[in-house]
Amino acid sequence: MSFSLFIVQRCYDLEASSRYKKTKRFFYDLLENPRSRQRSWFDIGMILLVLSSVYLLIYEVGNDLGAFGFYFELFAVTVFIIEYLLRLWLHSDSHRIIIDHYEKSQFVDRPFRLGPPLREILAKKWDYITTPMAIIDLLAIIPSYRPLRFLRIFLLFRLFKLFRYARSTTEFVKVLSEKRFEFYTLAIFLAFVVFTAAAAIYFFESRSQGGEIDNIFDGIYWALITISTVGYGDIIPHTPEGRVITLALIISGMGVMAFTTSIVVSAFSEKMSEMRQNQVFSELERMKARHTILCGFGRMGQMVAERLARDKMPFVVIDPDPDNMEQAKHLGYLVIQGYGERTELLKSVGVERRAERILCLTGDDVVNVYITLTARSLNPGIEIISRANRQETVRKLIQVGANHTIKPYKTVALIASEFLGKPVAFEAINGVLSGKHGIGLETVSIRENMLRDDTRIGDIDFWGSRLLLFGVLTKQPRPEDEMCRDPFSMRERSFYFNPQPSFRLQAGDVLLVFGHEYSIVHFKDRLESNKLRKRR
Amino acid sequence: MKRCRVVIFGCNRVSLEVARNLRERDWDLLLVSADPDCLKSAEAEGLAVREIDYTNDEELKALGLGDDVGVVFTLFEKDSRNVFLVISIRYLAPDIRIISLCQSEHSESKLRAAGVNKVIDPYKISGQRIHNMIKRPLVTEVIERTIFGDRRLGVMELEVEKGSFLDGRSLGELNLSIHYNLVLLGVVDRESGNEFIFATGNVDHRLGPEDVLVVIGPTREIERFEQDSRAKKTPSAGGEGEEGRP
Repeated sequence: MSFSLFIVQRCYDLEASSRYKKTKRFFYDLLENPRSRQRSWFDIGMILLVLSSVYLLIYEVGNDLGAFGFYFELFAVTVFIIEYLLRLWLHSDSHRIIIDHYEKSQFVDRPFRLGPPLREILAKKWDYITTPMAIIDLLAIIPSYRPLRFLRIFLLFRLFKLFRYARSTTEFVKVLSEKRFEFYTLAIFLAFVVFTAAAAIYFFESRSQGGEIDNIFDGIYWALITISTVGYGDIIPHTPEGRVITLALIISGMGVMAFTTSIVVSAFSEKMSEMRQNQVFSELERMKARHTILCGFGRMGQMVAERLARDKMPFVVIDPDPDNMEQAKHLGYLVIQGYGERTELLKSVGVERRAERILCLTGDDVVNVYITLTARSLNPGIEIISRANRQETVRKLIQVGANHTIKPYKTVALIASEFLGKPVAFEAINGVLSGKHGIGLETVSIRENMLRDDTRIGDIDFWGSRLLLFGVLTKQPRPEDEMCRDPFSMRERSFYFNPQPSFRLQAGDVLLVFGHEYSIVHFKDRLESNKLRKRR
Repeated sequence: MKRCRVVIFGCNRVSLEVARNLRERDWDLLLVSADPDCLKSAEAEGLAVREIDYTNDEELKALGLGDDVGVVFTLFEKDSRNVFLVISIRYLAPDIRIISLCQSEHSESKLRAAGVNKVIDPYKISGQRIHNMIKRPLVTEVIERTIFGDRRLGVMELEVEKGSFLDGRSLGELNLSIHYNLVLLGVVDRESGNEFIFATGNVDHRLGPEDVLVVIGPTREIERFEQDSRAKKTPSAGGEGEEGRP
């Protein structure tokens, strides 16, 4: 009794231990998790190990490898055994089962016994041991045991282990297994034809009849060779009856071939888009940088995508329209065909954790509001930029959680009217804001210890650095006495346009400067190394 | 800046928004379209409207194109209509300024070939803005809140007049940020083919009568600077920028 309680206690300890969970998680990522990066490396390593061990096996047939061969074999088998045990361990949580049983017995007030949970644990592990992959793993290990040397041929089973590491093969098997019904039909038809033909050819072409068929196995062999259109020609019919059967068999053989091909092709074409989407998902998972989700690949989406791609920022496009999808694919973007409103889809592109921001740029305000709402409910921290085609939508978008809204029509109108009064100035400022001629408006952050205390704007030689100070962003508004001009209030900061030379800079301030990109880089560089003060 | 008459072609969300913006800035404008329903609602807002068939050159001429109309907006949602209209207008009025809406990349070049001065592509612009929001959120916020949004800061162009105190000065010695509360972004040199010279790029550039200064600042300061430059006087270190150089 006390022993079983001791076991239960250990199980609770395990359940509470974060190190145990972390370890298990690590091995799960390494061995099983289809989307982890570690697994890819592990798979590659295992493939190499399997290939080299099989190669040595073949090489050994004619040569003696001596100690090296022995130790390598030992190493390979050790790795395989460890892998096998780890997988067995990962397959189920044994301590959970014990805890469940214990709590159940507590609940119904029955004495707890170790028997039933142990049986369940063994059953679970047995389930794993009898899966095809586990059997292959075992067969790859067992023949190394000396008394079982006669099983050496099974070492070739190690090649089957490759299935485990090459994900496309499992994918292949999965796709084909969905066409099981068609394959059964085909197999039954094939068996029927082959046996009929074999029996008939045996009947007409047996030795006693002057033919070449000795037994029914020869007949089946001949029928399969013929129906598969291989036709070695080692057994050929001599009687007219035999030839008629051959003709019929050849024609049905073509049918079988065509049918098989069409099943395989259709199975893949049906699954292709899904497989490609899975590919996109796992590619997203493996990306190092956090990505942007772009819903809607209309003209605006394309413009944004083009710029993101130019900056090498990772992003994924979601659009229901096949034409748009084709175009995005053609441009080499990651793309998923589907509706951005679907919660499942948004989840699988990583809205909850991995995505940094989502852009709702469809032409339909209803859709944009809906996506915004969904994304915000899934992830309170994500940055959302949404398009509003109507003025009224702006309020709704903000209400459901958009950080920024973009109003194409408003923008156009503003630009048109700004341009009208002052075309030259407008083109100039636009050129600067879009970074034409290499000149742009950039931010320079002031960090702790970058400047000596009491550094003022007038102390910094902007002009000598070929820069133009536009203004300063501060975290809090400065006290009145320092300022003679009112700041502009931003969302979280205050902006001082063209600050006085007496303006005192503090850590945390951000300078906004116009200048050539090289000048700005140079300026930042000098700021880091404290060389910016003017000589007084 | 002398104000000419403005004609806006097309009646849709964009053109109505443009019309409202221009009315706020006191432009004399006329909204023209072939769609009577839309025009009725525009008229209800107090906009001047006229219904015409824009494919008919006579009717276009009757609008005053090539006469006292200085600027035309072609804001139809179909690019082909815009191109057609631009060709007609260019024929009637070779010197008029035409600003056109454009929906796709391919039509931009066509519109330019037809003689449009400024092509506005809403998608391209919006795409650019979104990209800026992502790439440089602080800069974008400042710009939106100051220059483009509330118009508390303005961007202004100012032609250098012959004989004014600006004439003959070099860019390096203007010091507008001290004498006025203004930032001088640069100069567009009309002589050398509208080239934009960044303020710190070529400090020794001498200002001449063909140059246009591009300045940013509060509207009041811009006006003060404009007046001073007309009055041909040397700027006193007055106004808001009380302190001299350190």
